[in-house]
Amino acid sequence: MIWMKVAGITVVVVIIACFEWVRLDIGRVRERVVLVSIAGLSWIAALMAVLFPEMPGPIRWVEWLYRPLSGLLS
Amino acid sequence: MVDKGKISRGQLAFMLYSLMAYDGLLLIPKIAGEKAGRDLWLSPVWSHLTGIMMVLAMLRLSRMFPEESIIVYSKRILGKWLGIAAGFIFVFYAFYLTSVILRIYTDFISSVFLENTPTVVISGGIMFLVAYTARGGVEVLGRLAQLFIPATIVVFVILSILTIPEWELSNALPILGKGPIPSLKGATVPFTWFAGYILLGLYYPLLSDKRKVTLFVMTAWFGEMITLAASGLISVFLFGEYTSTLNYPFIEVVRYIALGEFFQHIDALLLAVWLPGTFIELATYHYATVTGIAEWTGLKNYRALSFTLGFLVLVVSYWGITSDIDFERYLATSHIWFDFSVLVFGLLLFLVAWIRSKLGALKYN
Repeated sequence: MIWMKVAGITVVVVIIACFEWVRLDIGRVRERVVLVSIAGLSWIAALMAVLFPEMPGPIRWVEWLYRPLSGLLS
Repeated sequence: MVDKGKISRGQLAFMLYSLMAYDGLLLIPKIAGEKAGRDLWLSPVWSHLTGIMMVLAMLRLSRMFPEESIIVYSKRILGKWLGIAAGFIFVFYAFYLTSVILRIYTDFISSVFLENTPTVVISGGIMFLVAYTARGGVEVLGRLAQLFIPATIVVFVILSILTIPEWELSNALPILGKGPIPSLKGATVPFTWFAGYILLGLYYPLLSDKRKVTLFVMTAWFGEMITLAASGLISVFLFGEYTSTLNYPFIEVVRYIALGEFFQHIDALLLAVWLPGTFIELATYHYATVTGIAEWTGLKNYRALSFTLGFLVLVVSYWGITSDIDFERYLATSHIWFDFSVLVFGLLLFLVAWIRSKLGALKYN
């Protein structure tokens, strides 16, 4: 089941990246670099979220960052 | 600007209205009600009267650099490296808020309307549409806002009128019975939401006509205040001080409506208000993320980033949050401080620009 999810995520990311890759004008190197790095980042992030659901994500990081202040309001 | 499209001032006003009105409609009566009790409808009034300084500061800042986005002019104001850092803060804020709003949207739809649908279908569906809209450019976004938002306002007014037979005016009395302090405490959350007006820095250069923008932005500001105060007041008329014990008070308000025997499930109409409104809100933030990153990294074409970033937003909205309760606690505590620090960041940027322009140290071109 978990491998189905991993395969599904990979397929979605590859489809999105290819879809945009072929639509970019020839010679747009910078665009391609940013596109591939964001696609790679979101692929890694999605795998992390699926394989290690207990691992804290960005919303948890922000929560942790502001936790010392959160007591001031109540 | 990386986008060559233009929007009108009215379209900008509708987009700004969507930033606070729809989430506020749903969440403010509960969040403010926990602190303010039956004075919860006054909290949006206080928050808007204080939040106006952020609106005016961002307008003034945008008018100093009418043809540039906040990503570009923050480099002029703060110097190269600090300016790049400021651009990152802006992009991160827009990206992060898209995830948070997507999460609010998913929790609401899955707990009230589509209880058995897998949540990824709900959030993935809307995110696909949002990314598609942002890919189309700012003109598509502006026209969609112009199309949807007036209709949602009309439906909201009709729904409010239909609840009149159920009103119990004495529920709202005594007004300010415990002094102004509880309702001021309830105003902290809607006040920090004014961080959203930092998006003016990105949308202002896209305006086709830059005269009398203040009037249009102030209309949006006033409309938000009226919407939030009205939804809070109606909730109090129906539920008194028990408003904050309900999960989504305004949906319970709408469920009270009964028109004869043949109008049932009026609450579906609230979805007709809320869904297009949140869609515009998400698209406004997502478009800001996409063009913000494109400007920040110096791209000529932003369209390629829309779907990839949309996927990342979707992932972040799920990542590491196991329960709705955790997320609600986060919204009522740490998120306030996150928004507040972005608000302070916007005000600081304005202050630095203002002081430097007074000293004559700022180059405009």
